[in-house]
Amino acid sequence: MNKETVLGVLLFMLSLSLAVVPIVMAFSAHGWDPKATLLGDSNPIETQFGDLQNLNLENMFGNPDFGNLSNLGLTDLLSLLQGGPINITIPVTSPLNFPITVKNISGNLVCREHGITLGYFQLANEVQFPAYGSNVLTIAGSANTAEALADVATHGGWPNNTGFENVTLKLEIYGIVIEGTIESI
Amino acid sequence: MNMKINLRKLVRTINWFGVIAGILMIVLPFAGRWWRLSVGTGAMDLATSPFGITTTAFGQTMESTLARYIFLGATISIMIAGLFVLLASLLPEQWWSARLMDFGATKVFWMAIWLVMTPLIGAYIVNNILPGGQTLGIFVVGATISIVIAVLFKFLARKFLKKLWSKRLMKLATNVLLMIAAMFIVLAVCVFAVGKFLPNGVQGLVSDAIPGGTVSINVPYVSGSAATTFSMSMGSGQATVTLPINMGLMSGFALAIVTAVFSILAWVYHPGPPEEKEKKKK
Repeated sequence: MNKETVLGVLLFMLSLSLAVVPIVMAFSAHGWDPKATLLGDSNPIETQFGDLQNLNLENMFGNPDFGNLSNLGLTDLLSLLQGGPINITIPVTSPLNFPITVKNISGNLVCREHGITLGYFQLANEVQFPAYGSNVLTIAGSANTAEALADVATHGGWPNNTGFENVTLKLEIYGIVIEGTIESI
Repeated sequence: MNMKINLRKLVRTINWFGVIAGILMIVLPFAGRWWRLSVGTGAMDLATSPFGITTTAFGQTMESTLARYIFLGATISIMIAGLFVLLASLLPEQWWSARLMDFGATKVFWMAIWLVMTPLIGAYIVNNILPGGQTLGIFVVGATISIVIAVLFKFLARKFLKKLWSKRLMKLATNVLLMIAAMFIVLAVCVFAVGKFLPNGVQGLVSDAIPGGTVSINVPYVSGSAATTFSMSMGSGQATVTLPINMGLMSGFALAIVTAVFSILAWVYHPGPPEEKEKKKK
């Protein structure tokens, strides 16, 4: 065997060993356990979202502030509804161990008894919640039509049998946008 | 005076392309990552090169021992290759010079090619093959044509090319063609596997798992932005999850291209092994 061939064999062995030895070393470092060798010990999804099953929602919502809506007489209620959006503020403490942004909450408020859309509501501004952080959701509601105002007048106040339609909730978690729509609640 | 002439001769014989390439190859593993991928903002961030990978998912760093060791092997390999190219370039008249140059010169070129091809093929599989409906024909034809041209190149090189540099360039072109053929074969295998195990594509898989579920997969090719959307219907409700995906080449890749260009130039320019010189003399 001449020196050229020897060098060629040595270089081939060098290439081969630099490819094979690291793989053998990695597996032997984890006792030949393929999962541990490939993925390591960390499981970010489990670490970050594992606690979701044990969420404590008890103290999530503070007392909503409806302003003076609850004790209004009919005339005052009608005049308030015609006056423009009504803001309802809801203090919220996030039970989540990761930041979340509420990008939108919207929907229609309906009188189920007469099948009339009374108005619509929408989140005034998107709200960010840090991990376990608190913030205030401001939801702006508006009376929809003269028909809606007439329905309030018919009931002599706020209708009892109301519901929500086309409710949309849009959240952003780590840049991933999750949007849910429910036709009727 | 004599020493001056020798020095001038030495400087003239040095393969300067190789000197630059060798130095760049030694530096390259420390010049940063080559390609990045991000999903959302912090949901997943990945930056990689043939010498390392940094992955964070939901704010947590992910580590793989296997990846770490393989990248360590690649780092040592490219540094040794750089050293060999440097030595071969400084002493091109030595009997071992051409061998060392052959060993190291094309490494960065292939690394750069693989780094581009892997996300390219991955994106093609995700965007076009996973949804199903592809036929094998185009991939089989592609692989066959590439192999035929590669064999033809090899034949032509042996028959007609006399200059070493032209033979080397033809060898490189042949290997690129063979790699393209391998790529077509991988895609054909994927089309076959999807046809066999996912007859309705990934959409069928999602609809089976979630009634009313749909998926719209859209992944950028190597660089750019796109969004993948999963939708599902439940009674009167509907939920949609949108994952923004962002990819791009990084500054380390620019240095890799410069290194690859100098390495190929050095390889093409480098004198051949002693037996080539013997042939020439005859």
